[in-house]
Amino acid sequence: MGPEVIFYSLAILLVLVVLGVHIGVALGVASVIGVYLSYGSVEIALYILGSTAYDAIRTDALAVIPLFMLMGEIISRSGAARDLYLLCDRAMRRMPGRLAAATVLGNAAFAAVSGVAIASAATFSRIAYPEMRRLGYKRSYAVGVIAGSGSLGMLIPPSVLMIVWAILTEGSVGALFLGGVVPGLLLGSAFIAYCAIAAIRNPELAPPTDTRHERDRPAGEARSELVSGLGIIALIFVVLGGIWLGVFTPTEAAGFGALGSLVVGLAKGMRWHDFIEAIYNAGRSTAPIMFLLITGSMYSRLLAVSGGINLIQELFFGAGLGPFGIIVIMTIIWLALGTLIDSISDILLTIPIFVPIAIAAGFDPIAFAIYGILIIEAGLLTPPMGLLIFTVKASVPDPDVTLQEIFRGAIPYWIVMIGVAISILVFPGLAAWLPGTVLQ
Amino acid sequence: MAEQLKRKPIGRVAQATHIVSAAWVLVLAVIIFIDVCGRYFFGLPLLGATEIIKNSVVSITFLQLPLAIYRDGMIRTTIVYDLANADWKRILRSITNLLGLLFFVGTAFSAWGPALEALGVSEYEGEGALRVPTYPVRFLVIITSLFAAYVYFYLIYLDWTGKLEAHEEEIVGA
Repeated sequence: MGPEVIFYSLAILLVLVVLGVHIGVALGVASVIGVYLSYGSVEIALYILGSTAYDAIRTDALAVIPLFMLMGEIISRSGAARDLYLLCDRAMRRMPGRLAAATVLGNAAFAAVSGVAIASAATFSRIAYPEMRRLGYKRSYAVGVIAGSGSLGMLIPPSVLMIVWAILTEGSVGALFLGGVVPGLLLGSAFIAYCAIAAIRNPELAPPTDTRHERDRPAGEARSELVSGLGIIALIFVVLGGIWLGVFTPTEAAGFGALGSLVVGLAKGMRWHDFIEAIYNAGRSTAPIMFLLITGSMYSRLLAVSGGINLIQELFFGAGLGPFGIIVIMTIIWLALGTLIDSISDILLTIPIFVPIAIAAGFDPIAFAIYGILIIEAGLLTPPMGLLIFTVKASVPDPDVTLQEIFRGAIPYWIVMIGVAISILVFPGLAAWLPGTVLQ
Repeated sequence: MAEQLKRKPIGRVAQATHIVSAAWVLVLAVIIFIDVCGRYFFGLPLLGATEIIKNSVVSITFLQLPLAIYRDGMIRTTIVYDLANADWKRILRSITNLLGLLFFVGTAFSAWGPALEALGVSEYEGEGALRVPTYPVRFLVIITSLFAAYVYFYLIYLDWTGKLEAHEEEIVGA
């Protein structure tokens, strides 16, 4: 069978995913069936399983994922995130909606030592929500900012999504990390601006607080915040600074980051049991992602051997679509898939097809990557999948919070994300300038 | 965490392999630290560090998969599942678990020949003083794939013998 086999394979894949089959397994099964339809040989079809299982992730570059996951898990368990939040709150004390703004700022800083959005959302649900409610913030406003700002985790480096994107496209992890910095800061600033404007326009959302009577920090609390602040700054410097200054490869930076997080954990008083829990939990989050990478490679191989990529490219360009039409179709597909599947699966399914088309259409590879990651992340805030929404629901210490409230509260952040994404398309330099300047 | 899976041998084994591989991530960080410090300060990188790291990535992943399957930690969407009644839910779970079983049996089956060949011809990788044999990781992929397939089979068995609820209580927090 010719390249049209890719459409049968995609149809099988979508049916299996919708039926709830583990996405990794669905990718593998659809790939095997696709190869069988291409070659008519069971032996060749099965060969893709064993060879990819052994080869696909057998690269030292992929050690970054378990190492960064470990670093984020240790930091989130060390209590440093809470200190970070309190520090940010102090910095924002005169701002309307200060606790919401502090949640965004804390998320941005936490994102710089954590690779996944879910970790940020879970951590700040437990820390920030009770504080916001204590000061009388409206529930949907409080949960909305936690869910929305959780998305910074995938844009501000180190980010697992960027690592996966770079590996799939054989690009530079360091360049993508740099590409995310300006858009990440832009998004964070836009989120803070929204928090303040919403609080000014409707003070019931976040009643102003009288800061004159706030107590001074006890010495122990101040010391703890200092240790956390310095520890996180040191980790950011070692990990991101190390990569960008060319001292470390991303894998080496991740190794140093994981060991550095141990030092921060010890300084924060973590005990043996806490470390074991952190290591155990990091593994629980890592294995399903790595498995997706294996089976995603099977699917990429199917695309390559069946000639499916060329066929889809011809369809795109043959339809007379210009760059605008192409990006609109891709965006719709990303958003639609984002309502069904998680962001890594979304990337694995679409990137092998989209990136060659986007580059042929003249898009800057880094600006396109950051645009894609933003759009895919926006999918985490949309029903019915909305992974960030479910994470907040599962993590806030308030059973009365409903999914509808979180979705409603997160809508403004979704709009801001789409706005920043469009800005990157219009001004690709927002993403491409920094890597172009630093990595010349 | 450690108390959760004590009742079932299959859970204990899955948890043990998971703990070993999760801790191995920390060992990788130490290997990287020694390699980089040796290279920068003494001009002596750790021989074979790259080979150890890349083979470890495969090993860690496959050693962690059985527990991820056992405790329902694999990534999936539940959009249709949530709408189904109890009977259909069981059918959907069975389709998921059966395909998972077939996938991992197929993986083990197709990895068997290359693993035997690697053992027979003493296939190595790496250069110079440190050459790493490839067959241990190849066989590890086979063994853990078979274990993963067995876990899927076990879940089907639990589902059709009315024991899945007890299993779901067991894995909470595991």
